[in-house]
Amino acid sequence: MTSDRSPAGGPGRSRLLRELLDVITNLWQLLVFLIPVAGIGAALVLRHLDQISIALTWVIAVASSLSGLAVLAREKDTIANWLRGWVDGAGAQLSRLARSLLAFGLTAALVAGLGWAATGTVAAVFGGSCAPPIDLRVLTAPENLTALRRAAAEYTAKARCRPVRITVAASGSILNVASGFQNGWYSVPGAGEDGRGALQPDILIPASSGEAGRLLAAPHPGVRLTDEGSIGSSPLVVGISSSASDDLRNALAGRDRPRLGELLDAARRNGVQRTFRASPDVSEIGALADVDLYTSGALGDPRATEHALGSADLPLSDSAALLCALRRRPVTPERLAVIAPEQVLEDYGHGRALGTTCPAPGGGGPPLAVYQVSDARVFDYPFIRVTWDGQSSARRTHEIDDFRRWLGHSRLRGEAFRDTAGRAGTADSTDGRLYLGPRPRVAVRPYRRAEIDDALTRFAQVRPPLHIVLALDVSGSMSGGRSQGGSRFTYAVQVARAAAQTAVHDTDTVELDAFSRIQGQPGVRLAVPPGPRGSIGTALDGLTPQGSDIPLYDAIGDAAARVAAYPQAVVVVFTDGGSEAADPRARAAPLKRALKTRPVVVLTGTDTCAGSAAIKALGTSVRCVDAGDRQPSDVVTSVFDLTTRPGGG
Amino acid sequence: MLERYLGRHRTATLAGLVFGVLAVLVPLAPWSDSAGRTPCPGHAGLVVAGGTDVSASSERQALIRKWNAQHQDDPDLQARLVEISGLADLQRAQLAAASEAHGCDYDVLELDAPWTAEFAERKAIVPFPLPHGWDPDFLRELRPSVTWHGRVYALPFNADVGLLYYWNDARRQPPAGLPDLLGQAAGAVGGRGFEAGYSLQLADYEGGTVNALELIWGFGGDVVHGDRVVIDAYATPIRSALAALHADLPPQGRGVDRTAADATEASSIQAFEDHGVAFMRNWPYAFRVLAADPQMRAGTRLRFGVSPLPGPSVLGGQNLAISAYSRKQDQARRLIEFLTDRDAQAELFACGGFAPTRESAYQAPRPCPRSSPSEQQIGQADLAQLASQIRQAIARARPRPVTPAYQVFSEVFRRCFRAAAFQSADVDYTAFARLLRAAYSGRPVRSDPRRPCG
Repeated sequence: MTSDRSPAGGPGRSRLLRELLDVITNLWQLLVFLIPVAGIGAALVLRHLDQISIALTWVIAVASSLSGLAVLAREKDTIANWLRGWVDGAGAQLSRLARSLLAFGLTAALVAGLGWAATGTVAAVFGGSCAPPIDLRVLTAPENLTALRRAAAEYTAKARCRPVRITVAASGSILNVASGFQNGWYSVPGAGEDGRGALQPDILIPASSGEAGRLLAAPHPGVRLTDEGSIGSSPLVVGISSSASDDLRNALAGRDRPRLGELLDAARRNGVQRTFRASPDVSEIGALADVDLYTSGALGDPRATEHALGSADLPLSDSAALLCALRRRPVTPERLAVIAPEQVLEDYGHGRALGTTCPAPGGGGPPLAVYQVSDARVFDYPFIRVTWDGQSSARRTHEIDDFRRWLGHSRLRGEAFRDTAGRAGTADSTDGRLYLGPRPRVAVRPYRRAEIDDALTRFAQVRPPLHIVLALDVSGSMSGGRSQGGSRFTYAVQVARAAAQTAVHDTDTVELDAFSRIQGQPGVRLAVPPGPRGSIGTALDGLTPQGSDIPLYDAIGDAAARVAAYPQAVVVVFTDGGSEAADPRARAAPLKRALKTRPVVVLTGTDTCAGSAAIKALGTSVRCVDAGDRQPSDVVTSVFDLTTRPGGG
Repeated sequence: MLERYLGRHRTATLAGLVFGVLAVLVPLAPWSDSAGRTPCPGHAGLVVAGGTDVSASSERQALIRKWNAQHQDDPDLQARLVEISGLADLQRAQLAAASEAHGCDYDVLELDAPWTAEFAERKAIVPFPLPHGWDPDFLRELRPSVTWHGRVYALPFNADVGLLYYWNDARRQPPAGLPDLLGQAAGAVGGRGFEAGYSLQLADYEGGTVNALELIWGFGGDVVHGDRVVIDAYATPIRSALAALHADLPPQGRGVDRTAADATEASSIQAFEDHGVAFMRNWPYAFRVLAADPQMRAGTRLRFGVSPLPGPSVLGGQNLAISAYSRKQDQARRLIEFLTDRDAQAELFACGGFAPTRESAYQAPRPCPRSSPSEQQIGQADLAQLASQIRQAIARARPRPVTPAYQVFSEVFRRCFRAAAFQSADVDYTAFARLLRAAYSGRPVRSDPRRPCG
C-alpha cells in the first residue's frame, strides 16, 4: 500500500474540506465494515423466525460486502492514508489488525451470505416447506380460555411459517392444579382432563400471582416453575340486573365505586334476591372471590357467605359456565347479582364467547350492569413457565420466550382485559376484539398467597367433615351410550372421580359402593370401605358393568342405611334410572319414611329427573341431578352445592 | 489488486472462510436440534399414551390388564395406559410436544390415522418391524394410514368409518347416491313429519373436515387425488354440494338439516334420537348409543337401520406406533402385536364396540365373553349386521389426505369450505387450490387477509 500523506497545514478552507472528506470517507468505511457484521448478527437471530427473512438479510449483507470490497479496492490508498493518519506510533499495528479483521469479516460475510442465500433460495424454489411447528401447551382458568385461544391464534398467524402451534386448555381448581404438579400430571391411569389432566403444560396462566406463589412454594418433582410476571389484569366486579340500576344509584348516592359490602347490601335491599359466584371447589376464580367476600364480610361470616351464594339451578363450576347458563335462561323479572372478573362480565354483556359451551355471537340472558368496587382485589394473570424434566429444548425455550414477549405488549387488552397497570384498552373494537374503552384505571392489588391460604382454610371449615357414600350402578344397562359419546358408566366414573378430586375434602371420609344383580352376591357391594378420598381412584378404574339391574329403591335404601350412624353424611347414587315396574309406587312411601338423609341421585342416561316415575314418586326425599350434556365438574358442583345442607335440603 | 490485498491477509481470509462455512453448516447439522435438552428421567414398565377409553367396560384397559397378567413375572413388560384426553386436539398436542422434546415418557403412541404421517416425518416413531411381512388379516384398506414413504410405521388398532343411520319409517329404498339420499331426506320432511332430513356435522372441528370431504365426494368432486390437490378441477360438483347447504332453501327443498353448521356427532345423535331428523351420518359408536335407548326399539326390533353412506366415507381409526425415544422398543413392539392380534380385535369389537382392523373379526364376530344383559338385548344378529355394514363401508371408504402437514391442511380446507357454505363467500377455486397446495406440502400459506380464501 502506498503512502500519500497530505501536506501538513495548507490553506484553512481546503484543509477543512479535506478533513470533512476524511470524516465522510471514514464513516463510509466504518459502515462498510459494520453492515456485514450486523447482517450476520441479524440473520443468526432471525434464522429461527423465518427462513425468507434470512435470505433477504443475507442478500443485503452480500450486496453490502461486495460494495464494500469495491470501495476498498478503489479507495485503498485513501484507506491507507486514513489508517496511517488515525494514530501515530501504534497506528501501523492497528492498521494491520484492522485490515486483518476487515479481511476476516468480509470473507466470512461473503461466504456465509452466499451460503445462506443459496440455501434459502433452494428452499424457496424447490418446495420450500416450513419446518414443522412445535407444540406449546397452555393451561389457564376456564374464564380465560376464549381470550387466550384468540390471542394464540393471532400470535401464530403473524408468521407465514408457523414456528409454533399453541393448544390452550382449561385448568381446574387451585387444588387440582397443585395436585397435578405434585403427581407428575399424567401419572395416574384414567385421570382424564377432569382430574389430573394429562396435558403437561409448558405455560400456566393462573388468575393471580398469589396462586403462582403457592404453586412455586409447593414441592413438585420433575418439573420447574418460573413466574415470569403479569400479562394483564382484570378487577373483581359485580354484575347486577340492569333493572335494579336506578334503585341502586339512589341507594349508593351516586358513588361510582362503593365497597363490596356496601354494594351487595344495597343490592339486597333493592330486590336482588340471589347472588352467584363460581364454586371454590372447582374454580380458581371462585376461591379468589372468597378472599374478597370473607375479608370484607360483605355477606356475613364465611358460613353465611357460602349459604347466601349460588343455587343448584345454575352450574357454578366457573364464571364462564355460570354466565353461559344465565345467557341461555329465559329472562325473568328476578333481580340477581354475579361476582366475577370484569372481562368475563364484559364478554357476557357483549355477546362474546363464554368458555367452550357458549360460542359467539351469543345473546340472551338478563342484562347486567357492571359495578366496580373499591376494596376488591385484581386478578393479575402471571405467566408461569413450566419446564418438565426430559421435555425442554432450546427451541421450546425460545418459542416460550417469544410468546411471552408478545403477550407482554398488552395483547390481552383487546380481549376486555386491562394492562398490567390496570389501564383499559382504548382502541377501536374491530375484528372481534373488545377494548374496554375510556374508563378509570384501577389500582392493581393482587391476591396474596397468605390471603388465598386463609380463604381456602376458612372455606374448608365452613363445611364440617362429611361421610360420603358414592354408589355406582354397574348393571349392564350402564353400558349403554350417551349421545355425547362414551357410556353412561364411563361418565358416572368420571363424575365420581371428579368428586373425589375436588369436592371431597381431606377431612372427609368416602366409601364406594357398586350395585347390580349378580348371582350369589349381594345387590349392593362395598367396593372401597370408608377412608380418605385418595383410596377410591384405583377402585374406580377396576369397576366394570356386570350383572342386571336391581331396583333403584333398593340401592338408595341400602346406601342411606349405611350412613345412618354418621352425623353428617352425603349419599350420591349414580344410575341411568329406575323403572316403575322394578320400583312400584307402593314402595316409595316406606322408603321415604326410612330415609334419614336426603340422597342425591345423578342420572347419567336418557332418563331425566322430570321424566322418571321412580324418582318423582320419592318427591323431595331425594335430590335429583340431570347429568345431561354437562361437564362432570358441573355435576359435582351441583351435587355438593353448599346452599343445600349436607344430607338435607 | 483485490488478489494482492487478500494475499497479504491470507490467515484472516482463511479464518473468515472457515467461519463463513461453519455459519452455514452448523445450523443445518442434525445435532443442532438437541441444544438445551434435559435428560429423560425414564420410567418403569411400558406406557401406552392415547385418548380416553370410551368403551363401557374400559376394554382397552382390560386388554392391558390381560397382558400384564400374562407377563406378571417381568416388570419391564408391565404396561399402563395413560389416557391423555378425550379431546383429539389435546391428545395430539401432548404426544407431539413430548416427541418434539425427545421425551421417553411414552413407549407406545396411539395416533389418529391422519397423524401417523406427521409423526413418521418428524421421526417421532420408528418403522414397525415386520419380520414376517404385512399380516394379510389386517384390512388392506387400512394399510395406507400406517404407511409413510413406503414403510409401515404402525399397526392399526381400530378402524372408523362414516355410516348412514335412518329411521325405518323414513327410508323408501337404499339411496342410489348422495343426491338421491338428500331427495329422500327432503321427502321425509314434507311427508313423514320429520323436522329435518339429513343430519351431518359441519361444525368447526375435525369432524367438519371429514363431513365436508364426504359431501364433496358424494357429489362426484374431489379435493386431493394421490398427492395432488385437484379441487380446482371439480368446481362444478363442489358448487352442487355447497348448494345443498345454502340456508335460503325452503325446508321442503333441502335435505340437509339447517343446523349442520354447528352440528357435532353428539348433537346429531340427539336430533336423531328425538325423531327430529330422518337420516344421520355418524360413526359406528352411535349404533350402541341408539340401540341402548328403549325408545329406539319396537319390541325386540330396532326402529332404525344402518348402512354404508351412499358415497365414499372418510376412513378413520387409530394406530399404534413405537415411540422413537422409547428405551424399550422391543417390548413396545410385542405389546402392540398383542393389542392388535386376532383375539384382541375380536374382543374389542364384541365387548367395546371398536370397529376391528382384522378381516377375521368381521367374518366371524364372536359374542363378548363378559356380555352384560343390555348388550344381549342388542342381539347377535344385530351385531353381525352392524359388522357387515361397517366392513362394506370400509371397502368404499377413502383415507384423508396423507401429509405430514395434515393439521394445517385440514384447518385451511375447513375454513374456506365453511366460508363458502355458510357465509356465501364467493370461491375462487384457483386461489382455494393454491392455498390447499401450500398447506398440503407444508409451505407457507399466503392469503389476502381481506379475502382469506381467495
